[in-house]
Amino acid sequence: MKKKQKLLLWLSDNSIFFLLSIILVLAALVGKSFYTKANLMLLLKETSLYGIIAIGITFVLLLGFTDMSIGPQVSMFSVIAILASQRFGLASMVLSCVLLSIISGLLNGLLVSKVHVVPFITTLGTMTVFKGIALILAGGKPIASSLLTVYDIYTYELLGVPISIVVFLIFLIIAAYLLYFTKFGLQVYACGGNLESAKAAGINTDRITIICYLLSAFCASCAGAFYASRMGVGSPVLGDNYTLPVIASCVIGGIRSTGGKGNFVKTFCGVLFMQIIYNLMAMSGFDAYTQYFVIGVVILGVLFLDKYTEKVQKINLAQE
Amino acid sequence: MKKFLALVLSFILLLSLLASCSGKGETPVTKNSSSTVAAKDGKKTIAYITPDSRSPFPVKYSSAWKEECSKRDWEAVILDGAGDAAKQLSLIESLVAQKVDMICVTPIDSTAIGSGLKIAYDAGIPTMTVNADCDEAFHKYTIGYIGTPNFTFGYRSGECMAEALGNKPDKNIIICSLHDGFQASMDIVDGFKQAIKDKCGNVNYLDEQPGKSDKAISQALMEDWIVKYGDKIDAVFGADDTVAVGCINALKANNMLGKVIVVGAGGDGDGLPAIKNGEMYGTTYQSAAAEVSLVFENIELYFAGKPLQKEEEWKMELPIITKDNVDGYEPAY
Amino acid sequence: MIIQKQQYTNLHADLQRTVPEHQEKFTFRKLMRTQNIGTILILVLLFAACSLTTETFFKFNNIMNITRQVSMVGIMACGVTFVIISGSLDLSIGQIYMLTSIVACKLTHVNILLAILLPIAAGALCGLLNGVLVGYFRLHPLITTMGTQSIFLALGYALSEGHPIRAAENEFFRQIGQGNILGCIPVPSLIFALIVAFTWFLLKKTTYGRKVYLVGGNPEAARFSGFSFVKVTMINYIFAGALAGLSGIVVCSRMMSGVPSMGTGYEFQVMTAVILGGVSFSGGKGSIFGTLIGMLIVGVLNNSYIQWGIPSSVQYFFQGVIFIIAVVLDTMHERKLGLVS
Repeated sequence: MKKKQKLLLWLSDNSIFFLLSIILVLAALVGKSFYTKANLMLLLKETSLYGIIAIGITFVLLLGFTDMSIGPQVSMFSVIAILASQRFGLASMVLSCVLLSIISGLLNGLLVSKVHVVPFITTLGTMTVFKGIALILAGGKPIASSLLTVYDIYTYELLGVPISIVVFLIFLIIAAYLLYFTKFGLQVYACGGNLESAKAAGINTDRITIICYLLSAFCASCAGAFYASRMGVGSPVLGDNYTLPVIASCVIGGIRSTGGKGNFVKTFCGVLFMQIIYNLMAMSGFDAYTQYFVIGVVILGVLFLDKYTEKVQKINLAQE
Repeated sequence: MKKFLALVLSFILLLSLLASCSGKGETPVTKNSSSTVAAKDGKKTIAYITPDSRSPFPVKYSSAWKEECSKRDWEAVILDGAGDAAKQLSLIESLVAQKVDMICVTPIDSTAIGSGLKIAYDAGIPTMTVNADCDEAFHKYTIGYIGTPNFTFGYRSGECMAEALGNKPDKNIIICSLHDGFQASMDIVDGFKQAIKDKCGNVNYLDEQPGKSDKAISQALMEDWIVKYGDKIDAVFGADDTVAVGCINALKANNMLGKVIVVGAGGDGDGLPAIKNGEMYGTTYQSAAAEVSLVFENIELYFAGKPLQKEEEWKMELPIITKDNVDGYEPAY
Repeated sequence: MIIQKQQYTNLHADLQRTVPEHQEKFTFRKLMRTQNIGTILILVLLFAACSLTTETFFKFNNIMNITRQVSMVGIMACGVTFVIISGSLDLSIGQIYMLTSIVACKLTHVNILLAILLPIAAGALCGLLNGVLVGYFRLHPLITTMGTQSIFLALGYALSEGHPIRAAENEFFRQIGQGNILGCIPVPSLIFALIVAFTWFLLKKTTYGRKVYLVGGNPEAARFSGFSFVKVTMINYIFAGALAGLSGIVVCSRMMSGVPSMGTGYEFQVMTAVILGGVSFSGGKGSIFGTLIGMLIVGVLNNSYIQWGIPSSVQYFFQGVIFIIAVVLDTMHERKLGLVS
């Protein structure tokens, strides 16, 4: 293969890195105070919270499924975290969320694998159920924690680095390890590529599906606990608008929604890319509606770029 | 394997970079100091974080904000919280990083905003809550609050309703509130109920459902309520004029307007004509422009090192509008 | 003959079919094999439960209210049914609805005829954008319509500058959303009924309808038969957009105003109705009749909340549980019939 073709091929698979470099250069030119210590720290903190949710849903996306219920799960867990903090103290916040995420993850996983309901439809239903649970538990409005130390979890710094960033990076490394170096990872890719063939090859696709949805719920629960600690409040409507941007970040990062393609580095870059755009828009003082327009155009633009590079890839392969 | 190692190494590098970056905050702001970093060009940058930009009132508030800033040759930075309390926190942090001169915010959640106010306080940037306040516990981080609590807003409408009902108890009232899960919405309803309790005594609330600031939804709700409760309904409270007018439409279609008393809140372009026509009994007027103007008066005081106006000094009221005085008012939005 | 992908993995059901289908008498067994039987049952149960436990549900004006309340979302749902059967999605439909209603409100100040025709064209134009992106460029429907949703929202705000737009007073225009035929049947319900009949005919009785099913159910066979994925997808999106435009006109007439905050979350309401109607997201399955049942379930449910006095925080939970039950029943029913592997 000629050098140019090799480059284009690499580009088509890894368009997000290319996009990321462009946006970083743009930020230097346009953003007044983008490359300041304070702003970069802020950017990383934002990326971490979104990123934790994105890690979970990447597993589900790699299988070729979706999970529309992660947003309301984050809300629900933020409410649960606050309730736990009031009754059992600070230490129970994260623990209670993690334990209860087993239930929500199982619900999604079982409905998709054993009952064979289409994931999009299942998670539309569980989305409403989780939002309902959040509202009922919270009594119809956000609940504030009476515990004064509730902020301590989010503001804790390990060796000077905010805990949310540390947790995100740890999760990222563990997730990447799971995907690259374990049999589980290979099986996830196999299922994502072709579910039928994977089943025929002897992989227990039901188990893989359930585990992925459990992971997605686990990540949503951690994010929910963090949000609860950050605000000191459990909000039943917090995550309503998080689902689609998180999924969009992953898709922008290169996770193919048909499954089987993508990895966690790309997820990270996708989330970072979206957050940089939000950050730049906040700095430029864009009108709320101009922001919506920009986000829409960016999403479409990235999808186009993907499609174009995919075409190039196909042409290259055809020429082989 | 190589890729993975590269990933781990770059993360370790990143972590060490961040660790070296952390520094302590600068001296916190004191009530009368104006020792903030001057904005570029010597112009002051006054930032405002809205709660949401899809309802008309915050939109009016933002445009009034821009006007007041340009009057004083200041720069306005307006960011949208889009209904997300966590986003408002991120926006405060972003503004702190940009080193603006003043951050004003209408909190979506009075408790959640606290950690953001603290961050701005620690960084030496003065903050002020407007149109809705933060919790008592966080007042130490702000220079003050200007505005009327949603509770009071609802209370005024409650007073109006009580007057219409002749201050008598045992009436049947239906409440069409705003949104599920938002504090502002709950506060308005709580204020209304308190006023009714104070003036009328015990009443019977037949039902309470969110109209979601959407005429179509509130109209559908009212139609269902009419079917369910019919003649039992004495009065309807719409937590904003849009919702109240939605209810009025349904009542009109069922010829119940003469019998049922409707009170709204806000004084917008839907509500005032309805009062003129006698379809709605009254509403509470909330002028964005008047409030913003008061806010900027106080910002000027702050920068001049003077203390802010006390609540009694505010020349801003929440008038109750009924048929008697409706002609003297322009729609608030 | 409609070419359908049939996988009889359930041999038992196959063996039971000893009599040719068109000769079978109406038996309980045949009823159980009907598509949508699960959701029809749920609708009947809900309806019965409400009627028996309250005095006010089973009244003519209440039923008419329900039909009027579902008509606006229902009109949109009919259009989106086409899109989903052909294997795509449309998340931007709520914003198209908002945008066209603002257009309608603005146009009432100019000319009433324009106010009735142009919003439909505007909706169709929005649908064209979706159709080109998903059909021609083959971008992924979920993310693409998420992007266009953002764009339409921005356009709606730009048009209205954030303020509510109030429609000009006009008796004829008012009748569209607020009138009653024969004094008791609401005009929106009638429009909805007409659209249901029209789209049902299109989908079930025309060649185009068959193309829609084929493109969704068996894209390979579709291609070999020369049915164009591009054309069908584009037409579906344009049609869905046009129907959203019609909905926008009706709601503008009903409210005599339009705001950019309208239509939020409507895409989920539409999808709930369509999904309850038995549409499969892998494409190739579904019907307008199903969507109608789904829409009625949503309408009856919302009405029942008031009838039963269910507080709003419990409503979401209730709705979610019913949705999941309906979907699970439907899926299990299909598996039993051997229509899904």
